[in-house]
Amino acid sequence: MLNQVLHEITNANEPLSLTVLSSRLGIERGALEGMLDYWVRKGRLKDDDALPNGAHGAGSCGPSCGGADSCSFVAKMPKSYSLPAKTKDDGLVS
Amino acid sequence: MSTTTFPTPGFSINYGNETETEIARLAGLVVETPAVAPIFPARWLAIKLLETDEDLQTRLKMLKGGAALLAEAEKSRARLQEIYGDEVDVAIADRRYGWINGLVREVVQRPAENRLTASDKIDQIVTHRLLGIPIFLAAMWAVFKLTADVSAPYLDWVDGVINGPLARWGVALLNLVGLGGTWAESLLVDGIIAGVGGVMVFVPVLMFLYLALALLEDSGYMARAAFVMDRLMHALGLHGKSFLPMLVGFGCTVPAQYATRTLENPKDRILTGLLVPFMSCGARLPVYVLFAAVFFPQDSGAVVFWMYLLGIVTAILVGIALKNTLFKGKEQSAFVMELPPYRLPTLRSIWFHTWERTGSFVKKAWTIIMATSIVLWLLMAIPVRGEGSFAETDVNDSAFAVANQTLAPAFAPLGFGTWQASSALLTGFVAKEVVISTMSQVYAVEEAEEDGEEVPTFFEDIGEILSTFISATGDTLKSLPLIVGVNLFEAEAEEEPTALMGAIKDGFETSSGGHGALAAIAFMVFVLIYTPCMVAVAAERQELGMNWTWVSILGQLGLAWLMALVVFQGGKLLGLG
Repeated sequence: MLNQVLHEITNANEPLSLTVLSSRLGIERGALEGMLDYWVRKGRLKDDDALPNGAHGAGSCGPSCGGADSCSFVAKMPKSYSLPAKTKDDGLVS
Repeated sequence: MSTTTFPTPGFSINYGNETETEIARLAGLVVETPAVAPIFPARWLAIKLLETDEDLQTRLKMLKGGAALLAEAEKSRARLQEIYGDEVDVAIADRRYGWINGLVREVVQRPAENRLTASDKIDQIVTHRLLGIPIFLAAMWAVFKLTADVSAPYLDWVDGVINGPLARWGVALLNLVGLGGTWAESLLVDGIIAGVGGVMVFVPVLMFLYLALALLEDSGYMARAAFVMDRLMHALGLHGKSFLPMLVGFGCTVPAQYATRTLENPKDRILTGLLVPFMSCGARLPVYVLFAAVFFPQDSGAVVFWMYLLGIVTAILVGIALKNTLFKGKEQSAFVMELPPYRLPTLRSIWFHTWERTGSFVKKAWTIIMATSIVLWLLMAIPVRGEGSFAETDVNDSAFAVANQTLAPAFAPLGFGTWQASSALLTGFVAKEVVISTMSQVYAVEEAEEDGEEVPTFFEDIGEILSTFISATGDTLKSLPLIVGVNLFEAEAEEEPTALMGAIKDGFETSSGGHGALAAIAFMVFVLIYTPCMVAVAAERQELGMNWTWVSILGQLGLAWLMALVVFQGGKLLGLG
């Protein structure tokens, strides 16, 4: 089941919504979220909300701007999961 | 050491024959280890050992016989890994999730009509493969109709307040302290009020834009827009997640550059970072609104919409070109997006977002734009030819005008080869709002006052501000049907353009040989495509490195010039404008 989820994402040829993935695999949405989080913990998926260190707070657009983490222009974007980048020999980035 | 007995669970998951064999073997060993058996349930510990639970491993190492158990667990894991071809804990978790899913399917029965939530049903239309893009475009159309058309009465009101009562009060204050008629009055009127005030006039436009964006965000539609556009980007061979930073770019290019960090692959990140500046940020909006009001007063909302759309299309086309040349690589992988349920936006939240963003813009106007306006005023106050003296010279004889006259010929083929237009573009490198403040200053226009007109008193001014505000609110309400194309103003006389608008129109008509509208579109296209601002360049340098930043700056300048040339010369050839 877990592998099915990863397989489906790896082989999808377009972005998927959680609802579509849930109905395609016949998995309850709540259970699917748990599975995705499991793969994030294992490093096989990336939670795009969890930006790398330094992604927030870096740079500002003027004296009144508190930086990217408090920028009022940054819209709240939906949570998304993606496959992490691979090294040249297709091994996962450590 | 105290011992604890654990209740045996009333059920157990079957992890498959191979795993169960190893679990049974390890559980047997646990039972045979006196220091461990009383502390942990045998089967539970066996499973945890197979899962490589680090906490347990640490605890076992301290118990007699624990090290031997760990060694046996290692052998079991090696055997199972060979069978499954993957880590053992993945196989175990897979079985658990399978069991959970099976249990849920057996015990939870949903009526067929309840399986899809209201959000799911709406999404079937809104994120539909064919309908999704037209719906996104329709939403954008509504946003820019609201922004450009409905905000117009408030824009006129702010303009009237700044150039009327505020300017009069400022001059009166200077007269009180004995500075009336000196360079200080010129600095206040021609520098600060013309520069900062020229930009502040557009605050209502931005407020309506941020209001519309807040409505889209809080309702949950923005996430769908990102999803639909991501699918398009993916279909075109670009990284699907590229559109997320681009959507941030509608507000400001700087955080959009930082948002590219969600892309793991450096090539995707650089490519998206190069495309983000093509999205129209909020600072470019006043330029579009002003030029649309001057040259296309009946279709200003549509003009703004097309400018935003042109930015998206340019970004996609440049992205495809780069993807097939400099950034050639393998197919993009997909991703999963969690679409939040639709919600009815709350007034409090909408107001918070709108106010916060408008406040940021206003603060910026008082800092960067004021500093730039003062520097420009200084350069325009210094005469380099003619008979004038400091702060009392014809602006055409100023150091600023003479310096920009050397730059102007480069823009002549684009229809706006005047020093005024080129100076606005030059200062636009600082920030795009400065394009407007510069134009307000360089066109050096003053609203004509009727002869014999009495200067109103302070209280008359206050009364005028309040009454015109009420009138603007009424006109705004009447403007709302414009979003769906119903014009309630048709019977009324068209408003007189301001002196600045008249000066811009005359300037562009003259420089383009009578093709002012074409030159105006070319100018807007140039503003859309060239470097957003100096802070965005700094962000690009941080994210992309110095070499790619230069590629970005020069590429945008070259593309802006080419696209503006095509618009102006192509339009002339086709007999447009």
